[in-house]
Amino acid sequence: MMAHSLFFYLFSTITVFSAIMVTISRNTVYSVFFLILVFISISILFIMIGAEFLGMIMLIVYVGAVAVLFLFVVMMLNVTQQPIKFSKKKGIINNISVGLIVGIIIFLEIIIAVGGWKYRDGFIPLSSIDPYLNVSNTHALGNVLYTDYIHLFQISGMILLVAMIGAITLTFSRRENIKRQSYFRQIQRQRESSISLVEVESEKGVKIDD
Amino acid sequence: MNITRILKTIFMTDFATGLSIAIKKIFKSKKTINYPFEKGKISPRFRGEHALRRYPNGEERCIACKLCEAVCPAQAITIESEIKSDGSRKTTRYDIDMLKCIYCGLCEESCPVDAIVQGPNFEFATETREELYYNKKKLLENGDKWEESLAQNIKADSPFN
Amino acid sequence: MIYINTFLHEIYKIIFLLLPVLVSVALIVWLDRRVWAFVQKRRGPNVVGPLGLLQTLADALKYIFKEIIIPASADKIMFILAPIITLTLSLIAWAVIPFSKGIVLSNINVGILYLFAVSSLGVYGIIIGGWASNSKYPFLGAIRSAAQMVSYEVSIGIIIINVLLCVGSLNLSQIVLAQKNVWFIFPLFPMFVVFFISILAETNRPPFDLPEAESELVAGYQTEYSGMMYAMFWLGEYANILLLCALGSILFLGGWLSPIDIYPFAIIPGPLWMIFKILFLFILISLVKAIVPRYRFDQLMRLGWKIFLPFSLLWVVLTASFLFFTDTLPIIK
Repeated sequence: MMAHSLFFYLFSTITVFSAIMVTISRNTVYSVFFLILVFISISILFIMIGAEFLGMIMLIVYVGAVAVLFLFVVMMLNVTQQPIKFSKKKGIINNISVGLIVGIIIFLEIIIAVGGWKYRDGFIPLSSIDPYLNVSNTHALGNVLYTDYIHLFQISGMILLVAMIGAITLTFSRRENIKRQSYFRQIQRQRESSISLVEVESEKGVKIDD
Repeated sequence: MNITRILKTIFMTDFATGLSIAIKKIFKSKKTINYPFEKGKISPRFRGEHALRRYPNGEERCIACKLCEAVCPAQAITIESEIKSDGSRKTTRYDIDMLKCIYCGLCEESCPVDAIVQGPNFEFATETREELYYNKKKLLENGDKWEESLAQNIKADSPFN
Repeated sequence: MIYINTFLHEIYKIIFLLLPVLVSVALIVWLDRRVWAFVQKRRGPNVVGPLGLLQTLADALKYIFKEIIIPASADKIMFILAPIITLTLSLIAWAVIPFSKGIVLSNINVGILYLFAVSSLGVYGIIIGGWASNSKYPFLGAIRSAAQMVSYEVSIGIIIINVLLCVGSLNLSQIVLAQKNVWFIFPLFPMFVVFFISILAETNRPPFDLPEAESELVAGYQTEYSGMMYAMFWLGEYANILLLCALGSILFLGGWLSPIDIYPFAIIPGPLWMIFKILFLFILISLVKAIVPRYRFDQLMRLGWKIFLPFSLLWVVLTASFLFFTDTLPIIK
């Protein structure tokens, strides 16, 4: 048990440290790297509490896909080496006050949620999750996700689909008057349709365009 | 839209053909030689490492006419000469900077007595640059070492000169 | 005390896994060059050691004694970190590969997700390397590579779903055992083809070696690297190829199972079958290197997103409906 808690404190320290570094790092690309470190250590914490499926999905989705795109954008925008804006007094008050308010609100919400969950009398679980059932948590999640919450699951899928289509239609514009390649036509070119042998008369030359 | 072409694309028949050709070629005989152990044939005109030749009685052929020094397009050759006691003119210094040399063969062509020649040796890589500043001693050594094949090559090429 | 004991035991097991992997990476580089040469009717490396087997070791020795050059404008920490990340990620993934029943470093329940997660992390070594070099070609190579790996990971993921539908478990050993009767290559042959092409793209092998397309990008993200750091990239790349070959043989070729369970085949031990299958896939990959020209980047992206993704999604639907209507869906209590 001691080793377990040792590892827990190690990884939670890394998480908190890199979360702080995300905000105070001067180099934007470094911020993203620290964000990735946060994701990785959070997924390790997930695995440590036995939620290995969630941990792996966290790695695949957030680290493997979301953060890569994030890194892409940050690298492309070339916003490395931002000057520190904290030097101005006004900046400090603006940034910190807004952040503090949002932070306090989130913190209170978490307290309410956790407190309501933990100290409520006659606590009845809403779903059919049985934490004592001896199945791997992939199966447990699947059992709940595709039975009790199937509609929510479908709706979230639809929302993502709509978002995807929206993003594509917003950025996609078919411009006229530019040459395009048709791959199918390219690979379907045959010798007969593209080459012809012409008998050229001496000293006459050959006209191609007729 | 050609149907057979589409089917070919979908079932990757071209790829399969390529793969089968590749597998067949694996078992064919090799077209390259096993270089450090076998060597390719070298023409008698091959322009490799330089050498200074001697007459059969041991006398140096070079008469220090400095034609090679004059003709050398890379100015890699440096010659100093003196009159010997028997009245013949011989070199006291004959340096070739092998790093400057472009192996054009003009020195060999200009030589009236076939003294400076380019031999069949092409494996004279060294670990330092200094070793490639050849002096007269080194060149004569080369000549002694390769004399047999040098004489043969000159003889083989003589009808075409 | 008991912690130290288990710790040492685990270290021992890890070394016992990693040493063969590293040695086989060295041999596989030799095999790759040799196959490539043979297809082109050349001889390939045949001087160092018997049949040139020690060529890779000689190369590695050369890399070790070469000077490591760090560009002045590079981001030094990240620059050094990038090859380390690549190599480490390609090695840690071997932890879940089962070589036979019970011969696996950690038989975790989400083995295939772990493999998938680790291979999706592999992009970072390349992106960081390209970015930290602070130079044009590495950066372009890194961006190409990242785009390529992210897109082909999607189709690999969906192909894995196809297999998982037939198995009903994320455990790699279970996946192998589910192929006791028939290897998945037979019912899912189109998926095997798509998987094979996707691993070519995922590991930046020809014809999809655009990140290091020497005619366009010098050497892509490796341009500024030299000495041991270059060797680490190179080692990581080949370890990754080997890993994906192992994944392919587990998913489609029945892992350590022998093709038919009769006398001459059945006595060959499981790990040997596994090695045969990995070698088969690897030789196929190196043959492909010898016969196909390089893709253009837009063709590559089109192949990934417009052909492989819809096709493998369609195949998921087909597999699922087939299993559902024939009532052969694996049921988990």
